Amino acid sequence: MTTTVLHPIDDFARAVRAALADLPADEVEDLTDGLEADLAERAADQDSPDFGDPVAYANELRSAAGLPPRSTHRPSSARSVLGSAWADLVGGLRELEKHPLMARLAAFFVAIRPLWWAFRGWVFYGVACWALNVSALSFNLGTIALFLACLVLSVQLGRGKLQPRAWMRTTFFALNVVLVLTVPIALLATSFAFNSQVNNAFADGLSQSTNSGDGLTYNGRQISNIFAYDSSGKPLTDVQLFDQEGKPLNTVPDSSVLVASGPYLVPNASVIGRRGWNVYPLERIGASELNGSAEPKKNATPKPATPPFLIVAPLANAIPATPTPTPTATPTPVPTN
Amino acid sequence: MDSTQLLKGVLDVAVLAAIQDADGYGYDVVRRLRSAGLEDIGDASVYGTLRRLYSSGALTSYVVPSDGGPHRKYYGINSQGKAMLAEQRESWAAFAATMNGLLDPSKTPTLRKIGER
Repeated sequence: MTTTVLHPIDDFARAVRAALADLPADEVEDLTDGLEADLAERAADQDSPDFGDPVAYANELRSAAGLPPRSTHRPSSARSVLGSAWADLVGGLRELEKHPLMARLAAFFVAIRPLWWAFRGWVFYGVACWALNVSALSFNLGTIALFLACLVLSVQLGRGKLQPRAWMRTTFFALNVVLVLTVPIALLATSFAFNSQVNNAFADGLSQSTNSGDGLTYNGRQISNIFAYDSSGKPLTDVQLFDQEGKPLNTVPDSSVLVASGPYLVPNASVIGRRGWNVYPLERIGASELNGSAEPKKNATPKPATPPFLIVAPLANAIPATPTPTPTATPTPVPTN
Repeated sequence: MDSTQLLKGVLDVAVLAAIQDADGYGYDVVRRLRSAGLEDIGDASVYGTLRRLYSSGALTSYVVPSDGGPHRKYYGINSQGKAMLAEQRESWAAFAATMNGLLDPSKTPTLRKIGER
């Protein structure tokens, strides 16, 4: 009976040649010339393509041919060096695989696979953000949607859903290897991006507070209006305030027309050359005096803002002291004569 | 006793004997040795031996193309191989006789005690 089972024969012959790869190529060729034909005949004879261990076969071939055993032979070409290194690696891995610790390690890595998928999703997201020139750490609806899409892609890839063809699996495997190797780079990039984000936010905060872009805050609370009282406790009007650098102290961003919520405050109109946002207390107008673009109408008449106190306690040095007895003039004796 | 260990020492003479009358290719030689009774002989041992005997000049080699299949590398014995076979045949005969004599139950030397004559 002639059974033609090609693949086991080819595989076996390839494995035998790999195990002889430390020998010069022509030597291997001489030793294994016609190996496939012999194996095919033997398979037909024994009615089974089982040839045993190819490495043992190669060793038997080697020793019967009077060639030195594998380890002592010096490989002569770069190709055979690579071949023997590869054979050693595969052999070593096979040995390692049999160790019980490897089974436990493998189970561990299988268990943390979702973590890897999530991380890979993050890397995809980072690459997508880079390609789209978007900051990966500026979270908004768009970036969150993009991240979720990347996450789903990574998980589906991990579940083997998106790679029906063999070449795709090979490409994917290679990509994964590259990804694993770039893990440290990805982590560094993320941390750099995060740092610069924090630094930018810090710098933004600084510039905002110096440019009074967000107005005036006190202990985190937004200040909209300021009421000043004189030393006797009476409210003052038209008080101009400046900061330590001589800049107008505005509670409202200079660019804005009004404080949108609450009382609609308007700048003092009597300041020359700029808008009078630093003249306190700011006056207010009613909501009905706003036009369509939320600006005061021409005929709007600002009214004084209601102060929190009509009058406050006067300062100690402003309280009139109890009248000290004014020295009565001693009548000067008038000369009578 | 493990016969594969025994075979190692006599592979050369066995292979030379298997092709002394007709040239043969690798598996052909394996088949001849097995049918002669060396059931445990390994393919690779035979191929390696053929290769070594060829390298040492005891065999000739030629390739025979086959239709529809891979070519066959045939080995044939030459005069040097014949001389080698004749020499090893004698060595084997002497060795076998010695071993037979050693292992023959009827010739087992009688044990004597120390001092006994």
